Amino acid sequence: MFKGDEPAVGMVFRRAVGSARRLGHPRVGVEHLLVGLAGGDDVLAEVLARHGATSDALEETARAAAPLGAGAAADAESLALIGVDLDRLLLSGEPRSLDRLVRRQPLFPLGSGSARRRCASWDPPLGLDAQGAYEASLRLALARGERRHRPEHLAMVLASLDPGVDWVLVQLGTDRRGLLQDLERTFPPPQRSSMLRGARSLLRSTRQRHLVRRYQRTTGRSSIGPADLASFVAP
Amino acid sequence: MLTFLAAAYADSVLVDEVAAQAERSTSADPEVGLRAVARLRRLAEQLEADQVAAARRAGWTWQDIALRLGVTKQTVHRKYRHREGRQ
Repeated sequence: MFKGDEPAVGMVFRRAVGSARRLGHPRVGVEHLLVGLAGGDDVLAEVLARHGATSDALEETARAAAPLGAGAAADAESLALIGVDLDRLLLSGEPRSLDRLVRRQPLFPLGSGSARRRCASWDPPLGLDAQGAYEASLRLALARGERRHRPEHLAMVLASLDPGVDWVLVQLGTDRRGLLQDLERTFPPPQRSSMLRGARSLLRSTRQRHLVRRYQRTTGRSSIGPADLASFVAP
Repeated sequence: MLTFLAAAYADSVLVDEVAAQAERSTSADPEVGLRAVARLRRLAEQLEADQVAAARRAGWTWQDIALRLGVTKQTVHRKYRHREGRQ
């Protein structure tokens, strides 16, 4: 039976919001979530620190990505390669304009619209990239057959899918592949009975496709390595 | 004569810039290029939504907006009516 978030997930978000406020940033993005993950006193923080992603180093990178965030910094780099200047494109220049949903959202899960409005009312508001990462992380925990949603699931999703996190890791000189392998070794999927394993493997690929599709729909960005998620579900 | 020379120079600079941009866009890795185009498409949707919202705030009718966007009134209304009042 899935029991939802562990209290540690809430702490990650509190640290992320605290970091954004301290830095005076207008939104909470994936770069602040990374600060929240690295700021804990647990095994995950040790794994991140082993790869150079310490809380201080991540805050420094978050400062460099302000005000639009790491996702927009990654966008600016990739768009520059096709001759588009993102700074000129964002006519209003308002950071929040990137966090407005354009496409209509699916009906299910019910209540997602009000959840998004709650996220937008935070001070500072939670960005769409961070919202998408949280949703995908919950889905990953379910796909792994976990009983609780924990911070390492968030770290797995961020390192596997998010272009903004990839940008941050490049700035820090961190090898993303090495980090993914370390996460995979440190946090293997839980052992379950053969019946549950069978049930879990039945819809594995559909669940992963759905997870990535929803993430892309929410954030409006293509995921960087959807195939990397597979190793976290079944090594 | 001077005006003609200045115009010719400006044209040549523009042509060089366009050529350099075309070079950059075609020489990029397709992986990066395709991702960038996908993102650009979403950003264009974002810009369109912002412009429609601005036009509605300025009192434009759906018909006027649809005319400028080159789509039918029903299309633009269906797409953006849920954003009314949420700006």
